[in-house]
Amino acid sequence: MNKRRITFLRRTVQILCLVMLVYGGYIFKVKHHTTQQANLFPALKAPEGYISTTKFDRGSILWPSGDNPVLENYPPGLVCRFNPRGGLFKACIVHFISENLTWRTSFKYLLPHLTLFMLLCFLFGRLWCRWACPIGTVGDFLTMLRKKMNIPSRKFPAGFRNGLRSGSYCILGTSFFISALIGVPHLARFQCYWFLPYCQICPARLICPIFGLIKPGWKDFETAITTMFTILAWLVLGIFVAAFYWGRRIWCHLCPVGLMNSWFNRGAGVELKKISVKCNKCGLCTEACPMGLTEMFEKKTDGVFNQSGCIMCLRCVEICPRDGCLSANFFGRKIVESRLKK
Amino acid sequence: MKNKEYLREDYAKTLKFFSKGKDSPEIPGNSEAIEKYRKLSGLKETDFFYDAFLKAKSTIPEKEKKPVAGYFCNTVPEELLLACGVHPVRLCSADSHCAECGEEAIPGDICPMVKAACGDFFHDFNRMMDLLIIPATCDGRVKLAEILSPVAKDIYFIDIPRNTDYLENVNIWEKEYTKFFDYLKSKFKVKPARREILDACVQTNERTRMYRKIYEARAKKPGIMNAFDYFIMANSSFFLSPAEWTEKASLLYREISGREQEPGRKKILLAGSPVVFPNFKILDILGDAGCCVSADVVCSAYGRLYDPVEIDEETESGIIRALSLKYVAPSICPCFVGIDKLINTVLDSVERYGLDGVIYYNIRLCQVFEMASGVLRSVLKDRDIPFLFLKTDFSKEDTGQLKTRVEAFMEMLG
Ligand code: SF4
Ligand code: SF4
Ligand code: SF4
Ligand code: SF4
Repeated sequence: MNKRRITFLRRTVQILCLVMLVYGGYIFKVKHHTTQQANLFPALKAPEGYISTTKFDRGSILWPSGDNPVLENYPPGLVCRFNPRGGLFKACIVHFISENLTWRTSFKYLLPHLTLFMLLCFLFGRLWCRWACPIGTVGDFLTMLRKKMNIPSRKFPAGFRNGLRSGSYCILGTSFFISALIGVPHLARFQCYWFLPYCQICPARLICPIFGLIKPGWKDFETAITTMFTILAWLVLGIFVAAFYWGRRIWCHLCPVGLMNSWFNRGAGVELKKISVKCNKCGLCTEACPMGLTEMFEKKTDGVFNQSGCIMCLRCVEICPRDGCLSANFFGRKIVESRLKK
Repeated sequence: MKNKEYLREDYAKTLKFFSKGKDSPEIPGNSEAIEKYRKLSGLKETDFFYDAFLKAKSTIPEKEKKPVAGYFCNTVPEELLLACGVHPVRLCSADSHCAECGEEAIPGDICPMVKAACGDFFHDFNRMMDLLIIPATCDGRVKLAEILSPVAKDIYFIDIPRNTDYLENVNIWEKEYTKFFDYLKSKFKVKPARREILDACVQTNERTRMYRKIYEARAKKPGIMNAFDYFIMANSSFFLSPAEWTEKASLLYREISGREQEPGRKKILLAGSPVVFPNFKILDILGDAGCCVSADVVCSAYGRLYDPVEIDEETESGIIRALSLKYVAPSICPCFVGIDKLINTVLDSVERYGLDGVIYYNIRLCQVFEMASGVLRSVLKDRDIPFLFLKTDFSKEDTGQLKTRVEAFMEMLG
């Protein structure tokens, strides 16, 4: 069939990232610094009497990470340290903010990390999602499986997608709110149950360790709250698998990490542009968009069409059969543009 | 028994040509026309296409030993027919003799394309076709389907919602095409695998690629291939198999790409009604007036061959959706909602190839094309792009008058 250069490149990058993020800790054995020393990116630690992930044992559902990370940093994609030797990065941005809301870390220690996060998002927008996020890669594998089995994908209406986005805001808001709440010294005794509430149900926590060949904390029925989290985690995992199997990237409308990246999508360095006069309204771009977006089809004027739901997979640019109609630009410089496939 | 129920066959029996049984009406061959244009062509490789036209109506079924299905318009997915091992032939005709024959079945002020299609269908070759497929594009086609249904061996009607602005319609197109595909499978007793549809798509995509190369070469270097050759080549894709067409067109492409452009020619974009052999009246007039049709936006050439099938997901549903996004969604036919496609394409071509003006050709009695012309005219006027509207039919009467108008237009271009 037609050559898909961008898809090929993207798959390669995705697999590289998956390998890197899962096994990176084996490859780069860097000595980890543990103090809040005068470093560009200070390692943040729980204050005295506060809980942190290392206080949980490996079987626990609250042990989302391996040992020490190679980089004490938080990339804008869904990852955490999930192999016993420590991952490349420490955790994802939701983990980072939740944890530090609980620890009530001073803002000046957070600033470097947040700046890096925002810089990365500002440069690439949500590109991380489709090119780097390891569980997205795992999900894409499920999509591939579906295609092999000749099962058509489900298409979802815009209302449903917006609903998921609202749901994502709810999840993000709730988990930050809970994290902040248990940071209040009077409520510190709840920390052992409610610490990092989103991590406890995050599908990455369950999926990624499997690749690192360790057992994730599958279940914990000791108390009512841990039982609830266990069941919720399974439920979310079920939704995740079903969403990726039938709905391509519909899950990514619900993912709170993706949501945080999406705030930077409009105005990101990576810009998707359309020259509308060249468009023949074939609708292939919408058909191929894994997020089910329609802006690039509907847009009737020239210019940038970055949408907050867009994960910058560039599939629309790749599939568009009109020469030069859609293009991907990096700070105004054209990287690829659509053309008839050879 | 005046109140005996009416059956469609009753109508057919009243028609002279049909009641005559297998004898088809005398349709004078178009060999003189073919020889005339062949002489004008300075190219070697066009011979194949001219020859193909000479034997178009006789040789295909025997040679291919395949079932043959005829269809009208641009919205019938050829790939599905090819996958089922059926040879697709687009029947759109513009023969004035056929139109006269069709007059008997469809009298009155009806689009001559419909009349010609009707008359053409009385021809033996068409009548013996295993299947006739008619999509619901314009009203003329819809009624034609009913009129021809007793004449044809078998007829299939594809209903297509015509709002291409509203992409939810893809679901309906998909359903219609799937129904059509299921019908083909049961009629021809085949079970094509996904691979076979994909192979068919590869063939038509190759054709698209080759066509685009020729299209661009002609647009960039005016005069390397005259409009007659071009339309003969494009029209012959109506009945040649995509693989054969591509093979011969690539030879042609090699030949024309070695040629030099003729300097100083005024380049024109031709838009509007389909230009189908042998009705090259408009091309004759434009040629005589010395203007060079460099690009076109008509459904018998550009609209048919310019866009590929792009398959996103190689599931059966995904392929069929991709087909509907090739055939229906980008359609420039004014029967569909979405005139902006036509206008944008015209604007883009004019800009991209540096064309000097736009000529809009309208077959008399086609209302939608005429309505679209008004919009195009005002848009082009607003942008100072010279525009000429020509309305005519198959008869030769108004040739002189049209020629004067085209000449005046050319003079205005300078
Ligand atoms: S939105 Fe999807 S791709 Fe992006 S971080 Fe979340 S799961 Fe990964
Ligand atoms: S478990 Fe999920 S939310 Fe928590 S750090 Fe890992 S990827 Fe982020
Ligand atoms: S794929 Fe390209 S030509 Fe088709 S509708 Fe989208 S932007 Fe327009
Ligand atoms: S809009 Fe284009 S780049 Fe963005 S998610 Fe959809 S297909 Fe990918």
